[in-house]
Amino acid sequence: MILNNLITSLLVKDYDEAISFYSGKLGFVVVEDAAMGPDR
Amino acid sequence: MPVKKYREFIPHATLQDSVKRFWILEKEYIAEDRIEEVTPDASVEMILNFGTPYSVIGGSAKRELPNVSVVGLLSKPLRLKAEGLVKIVAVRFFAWGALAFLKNAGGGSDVTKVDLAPTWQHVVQRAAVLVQGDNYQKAVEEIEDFLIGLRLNILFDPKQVRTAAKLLYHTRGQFRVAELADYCHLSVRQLQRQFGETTGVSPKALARAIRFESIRERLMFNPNANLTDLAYEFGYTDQAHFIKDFRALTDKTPGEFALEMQQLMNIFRENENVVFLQSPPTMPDYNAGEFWRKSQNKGDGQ
Repeated sequence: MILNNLITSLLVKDYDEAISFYSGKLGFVVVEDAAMGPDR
Repeated sequence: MPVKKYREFIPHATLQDSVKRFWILEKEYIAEDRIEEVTPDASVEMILNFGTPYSVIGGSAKRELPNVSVVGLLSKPLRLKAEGLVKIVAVRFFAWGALAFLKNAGGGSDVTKVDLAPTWQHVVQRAAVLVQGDNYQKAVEEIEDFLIGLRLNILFDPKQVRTAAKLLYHTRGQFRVAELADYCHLSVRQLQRQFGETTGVSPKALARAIRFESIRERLMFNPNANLTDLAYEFGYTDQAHFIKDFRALTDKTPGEFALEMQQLMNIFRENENVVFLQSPPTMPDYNAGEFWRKSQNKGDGQ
């Protein structure tokens, strides 16, 4: 099997702090960052 | 039966303070049943999918997930869809366990997809071959060995936060942030900052996720649990608050969610290729005070 898509992505939802944490500290890229309103 | 295989594995002893489970899933998605809903919990999942890819539902554009994805801490259900056969080997990290292992797994910062670090590429390639040969267990062992190797090289070990986060886990999220800070001899602000640096979320957010995860596990393994009793047991003083928290995390009432869990588990019970493990071996049921003394005496957060 050829893995031509051997890349990482990250899914987080709604936690601003988590998004900056994962995209900053871990070096992952956020692919899903749906705005879910003020409720959290 | 769309789920052909699901199995959980207890991690090696040296990984048990960071990794909750390894798990594998082989599932066929057919036309009328293509949606997968990922409920928020207190875990960070690294998912290696060697079958048909998932796409994220919602958001701005159709986004197909690559072979390797990380699902961080969610505060809302995440909906994915796939068509065909997914073949997954995954690592379920505790919230505080992911950083040390994953911080060098990817790179880059401003593109939508990045190359996996070379050390990870090798292990993912080997796992891919094993999964294609239908040897999921060997693939899990391959990744486990790799993580054990990484573990030896980890210098970063945020002991105080690790201890605080474990305490939250032991008490199933029923711990006030001010008390937690007191226990750790930190100010609330210090605790929150250190928590953010290690887990990406606040102690309060993690406590809520842990509480929900504990309730979900209870519903999975004790489908007849009384919801009112459960709410009180998990520290809710009233049903309204319980229901509100549940709605926020699942878009469902506790009753609706419990019913879904029952139906799901009934289906799985008839499938010998679906194996869940109950409470993780690393989380014995001792009380918070005792836990804290042990941590202090050993001085290493274990």
